[in-house]
Amino acid sequence: MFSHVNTDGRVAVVSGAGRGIGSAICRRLAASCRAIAVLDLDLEPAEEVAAELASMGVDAHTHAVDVTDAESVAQAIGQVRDAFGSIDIVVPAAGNMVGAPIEQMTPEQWSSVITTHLTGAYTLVRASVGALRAAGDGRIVLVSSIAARGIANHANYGAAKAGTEGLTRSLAWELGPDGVNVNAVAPGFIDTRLTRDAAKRKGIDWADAVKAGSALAALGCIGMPEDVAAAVSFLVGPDSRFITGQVLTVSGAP
Amino acid sequence: MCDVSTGAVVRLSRSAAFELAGSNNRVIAVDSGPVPTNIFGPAPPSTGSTIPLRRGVVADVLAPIIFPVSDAALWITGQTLNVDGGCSLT
Repeated sequence: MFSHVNTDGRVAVVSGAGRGIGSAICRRLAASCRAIAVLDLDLEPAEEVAAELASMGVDAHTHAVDVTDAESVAQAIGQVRDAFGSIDIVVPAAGNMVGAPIEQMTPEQWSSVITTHLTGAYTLVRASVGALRAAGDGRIVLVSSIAARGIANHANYGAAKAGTEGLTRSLAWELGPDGVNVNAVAPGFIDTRLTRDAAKRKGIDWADAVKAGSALAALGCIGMPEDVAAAVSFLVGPDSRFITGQVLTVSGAP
Repeated sequence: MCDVSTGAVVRLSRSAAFELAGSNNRVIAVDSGPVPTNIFGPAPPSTGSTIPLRRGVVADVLAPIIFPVSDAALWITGQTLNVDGGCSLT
């Protein structure tokens, strides 16, 4: 009864959409989108997600995109606009995780994480913003992390996510007058390839990592990509039209 | 005083979230921006600044309440949802 905007028939663009949180977001948005652009560095998993979306009745296109390359992102977004006619929702979800103690962190490791998360969000938003303004009820949801509060041995990741939250608030100010809401989700410990690989690199058995992560969450369990996708779905839906510049923590804990 | 008591509610929801998590109960606060109500009257107090979105109405702050109590928010607790058009950014 409080819905003001019908989200059916919208067009979404999701980066990092081939796996983990990005792919879960695509599946969740399938219920309210007529078309979804599935962007990922690796085409193969993106194709699998697109096939799944197609089976759900969504017009899904894939684009092999390095989000740190502004030109390649702009080219992909141009193709999305040509194919679908509009863009209503943008979710930059591409990410990586390469950690090291600060004195051992190489400039390459630092840059890799900063550019994938933060610059990758900038390139996608920059390329899409014209279409979002034209949409009338455009939505951007950035993906931060509870690591924005600080995380040992992953200073690049913590800094990138803190930057993501600053980007969220800045874009909320900049795009709000044009009717574009900009928010972020900040997941806690989620079961993804990223977190499984991180545990493996540290020589931690996944079952032990889950146990440790569950102990950190007041609700007593780690999260799944679908938990984050549900929050994103809310932030692009009709019930959140008066919410902007916010970071919604999805971590099973205060 | 309204601002002080609202701040206390936000802290209360956080503490209650910790206390009730063991029984799998979740607590989420909704912090609404000033909208025309019986308390504020037709012209709610201004923050003195512009806000990112246009001024809201009661329905705008009621609509998001459905989300925290739904199955879509099962892994969210102790959070405050600012439903204020970006007023809290000022």
